[in-house]
Amino acid sequence: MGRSVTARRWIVLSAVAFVIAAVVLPFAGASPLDLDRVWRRQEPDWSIFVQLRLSRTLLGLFAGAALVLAGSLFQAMLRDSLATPYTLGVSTGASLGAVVAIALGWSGVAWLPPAWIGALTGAAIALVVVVGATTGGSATSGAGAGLSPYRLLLAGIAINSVCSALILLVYGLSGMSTSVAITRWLIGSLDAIPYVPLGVFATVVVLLSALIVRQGRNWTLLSVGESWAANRGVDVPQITWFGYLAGSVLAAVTVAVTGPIGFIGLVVPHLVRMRIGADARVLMPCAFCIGGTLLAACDALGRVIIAPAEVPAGAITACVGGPYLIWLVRRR
Amino acid sequence: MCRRVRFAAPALRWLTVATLAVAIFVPAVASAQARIVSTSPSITETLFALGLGGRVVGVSTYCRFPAEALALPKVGGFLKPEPETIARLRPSLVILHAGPNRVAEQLAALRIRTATVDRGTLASVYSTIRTIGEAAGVPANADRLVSDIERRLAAVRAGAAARPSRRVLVIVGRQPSTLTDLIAAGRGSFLNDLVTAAGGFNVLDDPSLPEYPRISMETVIRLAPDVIVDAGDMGDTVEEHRRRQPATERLWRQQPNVAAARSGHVHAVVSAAFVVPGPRVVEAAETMAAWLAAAGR
Repeated sequence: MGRSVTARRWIVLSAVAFVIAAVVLPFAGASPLDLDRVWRRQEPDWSIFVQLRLSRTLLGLFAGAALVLAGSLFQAMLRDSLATPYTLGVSTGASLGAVVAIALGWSGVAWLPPAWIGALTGAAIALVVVVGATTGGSATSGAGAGLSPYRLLLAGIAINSVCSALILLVYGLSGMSTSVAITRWLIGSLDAIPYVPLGVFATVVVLLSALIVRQGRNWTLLSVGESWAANRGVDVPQITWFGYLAGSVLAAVTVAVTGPIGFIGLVVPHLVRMRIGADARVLMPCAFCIGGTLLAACDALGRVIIAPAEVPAGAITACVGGPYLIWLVRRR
Repeated sequence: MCRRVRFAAPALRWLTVATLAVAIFVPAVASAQARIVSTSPSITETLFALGLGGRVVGVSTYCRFPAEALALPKVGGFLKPEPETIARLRPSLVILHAGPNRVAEQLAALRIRTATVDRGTLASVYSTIRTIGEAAGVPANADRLVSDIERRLAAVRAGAAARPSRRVLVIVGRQPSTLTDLIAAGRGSFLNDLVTAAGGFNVLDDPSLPEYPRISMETVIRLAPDVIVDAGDMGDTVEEHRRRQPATERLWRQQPNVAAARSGHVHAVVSAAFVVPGPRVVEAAETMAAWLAAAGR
């Protein structure tokens, strides 16, 4: 009973932090906002608030939530504390696709910039390759023939290596202007985007996250061991497939929109786990809300710290989260 | 004994004359026939502007101007030129930028002469021209080229002095086909010097900011520049520069809160002179001055 109340309290607290972040953080920016003008919908303050700051804050919230949830999922599913949203290769495929789109000078389609189109295409190709690699194999090869987190991990490492090498190759063959654009994209960053793509992105993130969180019990059992989970009625190959597909799509769509923002998907699940515990039914919703809040807050800090210049959100998350993690580890 | 001395005296004279001749003429001949390798677009443009194009035997991967450079062997990028590729070209002089690499030491070990030049500001354009001129044995050409650039820039400044100063923002990087992740020219960049020469004021000329700060669209709106020069998504070839120009200007026109976009004073750059700090900076300054003059009408 007490445990269930504590768990509920953590989830509610995380959700409240998420909502507060959505309301408060748009007020932080490179320049002071005239609230009276915003209230009266006078330009440019109204557009700065609604079109630029609110849109960017919401993107930070959903991108951070997606990356941290995908990180939590892969860490539980693969039983690897160093797993990140990028471990299983699809996100690196997305990065390769974006890099190729930039290098070839693709044009955007409607509200889809070329890097997004490239990233989604690259992610889809990487997904097909990993699926092909892990479902292949001879039927007589015993353990190797069935799907397992171990096979997914190996295929992911292989895809990651190949895609990373191809990114370096494309970078090396690019001209000066293109190589600078590729470097900038690979740093990963948040910026305001129109509400139509933001709405599509947020919908995909929320739907996939809800499906992942609903399987919380299965992730908890799987994080102990495959046999442990199978003995308690978990269909391990099926749940592994689902986890792989949902986590990869979650990470890939985020990478497409923001570029590969590092650190947050690796460390924040650990921060949350150390505070809340390893039960995925509590950990995952909390990780979703806290991840989003942290990325959006770090981005807001990056907007004001040397304004009007900006510091990328990934750099702030690493500077803030790294020392906090060390402090937590020392306390334990 | 006496006879031997008489015989040695003219021989010694001849030896002295021959030694002097070698000391004076061989370096001159050597520098006249120097095989030069360039490791960046600005160095390549400087070498060709100094009349040394015929001696250039290798250029960086990024060199695209003048057209002759396209056909020359490539020796890697300016951050990390490839010593082995350079050595195979048997150069007598390699022009490098100072950077986080050991290429100068590696080439010295191969007994290949190097000269290191600065980059980043308008002053470094002049110092680069003079350093290359000295190293290649054509200091007079270097003086002439510097004087020519100074004269043309003085004319640009004189023309600009008669007009009110315009607030200018120069974008040097952004995500392709979007106005996100904007990188602009700040104080310390050669583009900042060009804006000043063209009679403008760089809205990011602030000593507390990085040389190339990352800014948001909110900052663009708040700074309210009169003129925006966008070199952020140019592509690498002249054809790409021209192809992307209308799309870039269309993107900006969709920003109703940006004053320069409303008044039609956003200019998408189609010349690499804006991004290569070489002898063509004066062309960039002249173009920018014309844009600023148009903004005042």
